[in-house]
Amino acid sequence: MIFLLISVFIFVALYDIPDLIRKKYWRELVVFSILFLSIFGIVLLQFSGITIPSPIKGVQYILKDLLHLNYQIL
Amino acid sequence: MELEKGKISATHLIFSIGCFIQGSTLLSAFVISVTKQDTWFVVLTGFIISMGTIGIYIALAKMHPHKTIIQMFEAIFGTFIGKIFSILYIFYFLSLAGLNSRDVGNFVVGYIMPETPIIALLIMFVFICSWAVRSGIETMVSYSFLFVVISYIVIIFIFLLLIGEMNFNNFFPAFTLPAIKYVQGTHIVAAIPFSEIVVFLMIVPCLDNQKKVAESFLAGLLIGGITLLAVIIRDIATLGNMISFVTLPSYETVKLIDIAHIITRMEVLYAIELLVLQFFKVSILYYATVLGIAQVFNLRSYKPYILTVGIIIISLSIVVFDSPMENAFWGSTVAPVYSSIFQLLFPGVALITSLIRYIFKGIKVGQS
Amino acid sequence: MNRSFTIFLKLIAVFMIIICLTGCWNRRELDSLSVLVGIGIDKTDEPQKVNVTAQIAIPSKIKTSGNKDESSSSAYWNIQYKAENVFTALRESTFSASRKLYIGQNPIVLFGEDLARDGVQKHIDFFLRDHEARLNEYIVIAKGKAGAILNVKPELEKLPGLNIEKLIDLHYATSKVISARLMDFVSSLASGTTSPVAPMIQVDGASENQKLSMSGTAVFKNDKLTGELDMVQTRGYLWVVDKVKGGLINTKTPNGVICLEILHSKSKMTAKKKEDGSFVIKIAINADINAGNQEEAYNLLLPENISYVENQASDTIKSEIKASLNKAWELKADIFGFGEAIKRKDYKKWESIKDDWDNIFPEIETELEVAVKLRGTGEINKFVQPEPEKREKNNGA
Repeated sequence: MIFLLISVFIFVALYDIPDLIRKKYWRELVVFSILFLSIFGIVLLQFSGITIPSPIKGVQYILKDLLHLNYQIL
Repeated sequence: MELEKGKISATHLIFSIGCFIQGSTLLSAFVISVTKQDTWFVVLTGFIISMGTIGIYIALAKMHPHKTIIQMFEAIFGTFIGKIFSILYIFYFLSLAGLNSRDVGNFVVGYIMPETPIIALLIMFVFICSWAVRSGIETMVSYSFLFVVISYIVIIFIFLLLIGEMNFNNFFPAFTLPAIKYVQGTHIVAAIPFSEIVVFLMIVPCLDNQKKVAESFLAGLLIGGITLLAVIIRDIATLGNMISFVTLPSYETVKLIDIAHIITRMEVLYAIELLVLQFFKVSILYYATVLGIAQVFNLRSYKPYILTVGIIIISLSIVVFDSPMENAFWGSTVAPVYSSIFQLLFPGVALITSLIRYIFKGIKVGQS
Repeated sequence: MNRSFTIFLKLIAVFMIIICLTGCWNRRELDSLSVLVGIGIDKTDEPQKVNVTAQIAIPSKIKTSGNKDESSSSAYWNIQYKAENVFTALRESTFSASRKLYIGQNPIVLFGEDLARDGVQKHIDFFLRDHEARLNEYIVIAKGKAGAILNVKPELEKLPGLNIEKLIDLHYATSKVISARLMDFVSSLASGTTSPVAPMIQVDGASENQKLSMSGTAVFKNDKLTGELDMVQTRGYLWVVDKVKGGLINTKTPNGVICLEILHSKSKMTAKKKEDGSFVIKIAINADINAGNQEEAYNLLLPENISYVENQASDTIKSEIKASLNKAWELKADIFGFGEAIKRKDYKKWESIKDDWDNIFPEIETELEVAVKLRGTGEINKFVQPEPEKREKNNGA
């Protein structure tokens, strides 16, 4: 399973990076690497069983428990 | 705008907006669970309220022609604050894309193939959306017309097949719920189907004739609104007392079609409609995210990020909720407030600041 | 990135799509499913357990073969299993059945009478939650044991479950039995005041020539069986809720009995408020009838005869409705939906009386208005007998 994951990421990298290098878009490459490596890390963590906190639940926590800005459900 | 070189016509924009709103009609359980048999009224009031938010978008688009909302924020608030707002918007679009993909996944896994893990489905769905985004905006909006037509044909067909089942006594007793429920219902309808059009502020710059922004928005809103009203009326008339108990009212309505024991099991129509419309919706949100990322960091092309953002959307959809029940709780209670921040608060603040700067510039010009 | 690499990538993409789109993950081959055509649920001696009879269709034996009596085996198999609830029973029957049970084509759900007395809602809940079950399955209550009903071999059909479904479909021919879909049943459960109803079926005859016959209507209080309406009362109930689509009325005239056929009928039930705040339910019925059978000569071309027949028919309808009203009052079960009519009219009043509905319902006044019109006499317009002039001529000559 992890092997499949790594191969998908290698595939994505192979697909996008050579184009960037050829056109010498260094800035784009930097942003791409940040995004790519962070999502790679998150997905690896997900697959090895660590639960990632969901951003939506974070928003729900802020709006519901801290600011009490939500509607009540019947 | 060098990033996106495509041009779209006003007709395409109208039908894209219509198709986008129609995508939310199939998941109307959020609002039906709140206002039960008065949902039709809440749809009408939500429509009127959302005209206000759409007015803000039209004003912003007219004041800053050929600029996406991210470029608008940088022009209005300056670079630093503008980029903060822009990153928040990227997060908003990304979360919407994740939630909508999750809805598709929930439907297929819950109702059609219960043993499939949801990730398999999401990979295929988001993969197709990424292919669409890679083809560019012109391709994406050009099939909106076809989708709107297909969706209307399916809805009219189901409506006609269900006329025998409808019982208009189910609309009464009307207006018996406490007033806060109507406020909540109006807020949900104005925020979730109608005002999610804020994402089109990323696409409006491609319109070749910028004077037609107002008509396009309003016409698209009308197309989507009529569909939503028709679907809600059909569901209330057919389901009656059961409307607050079922998880997907439109699906159960379609399940009840039974003409002479021959025309039965038409749920496939609902599934087709859902997949087609949600595909369009997620593609537009996906495109807005990718374009937003490229614009925030002043990059020269958005194409390299498509696959990566796709993987982000898939992982977000899996992580975002554990079960459809949490999704339902979120949808009826917290989602309207969360959406209103991005649909009303931020654009409103941007519009006011823009007006103030315009007036000041006018005063400065007048003085000098 | 040269061209061949792009082509290679596209080939990989196409390959992946072909593999993924076949839906192999959740495949269900047709020969790994057993199609259920009837489910019967009975009470067992062990408490907390139900006996579920599932009727599985065997497709290969349904085909009509050349010689009729070659297959002594039937086209179905009834498998019985005891478990805590229907869901468990259907799953655990895979201990003995080689194919997983599929309820997507199931037309009827049959409850045994003694189980119905204990309450059916805990068994219906499975059919509501399952994504394969249809909401337009018929609910039927069996007099006796449901398993016995499902064992009766039908003469005209191959599968008993489908036989029962067709029996219920034909309820419009007499309008003396009803059809209750799962949807209607749970709608009544969801409202606070309406009592659900379901048709009843029984086995007639000795063990060799058994046949099924529909008999009356079962009335539920919440979800427990409390009483029964006989055929006349059932028709009265159907008149009120606007479900009469056909049927026969036998009316007495000075010249024998005329059998009238109901062509169409429309009924409207509204709640009206009186000055002192209580409600009157107004039931207005419009029926069109046809003369089907005459015993003696009774000239239906004369207007006074027509109105006599119409009045007799409307009196019969009124008496049927009164019979059903009396029985419903006796059972304290609002099968007609009077509570819903009041709720539509005045929500606040309904809120205050709905908790005491059992006592208020028998006191509700009703106003009946029945209008019947004779629309035809069939293909002949007079009873066949020699004409009067000819008779005088014979007498004279």
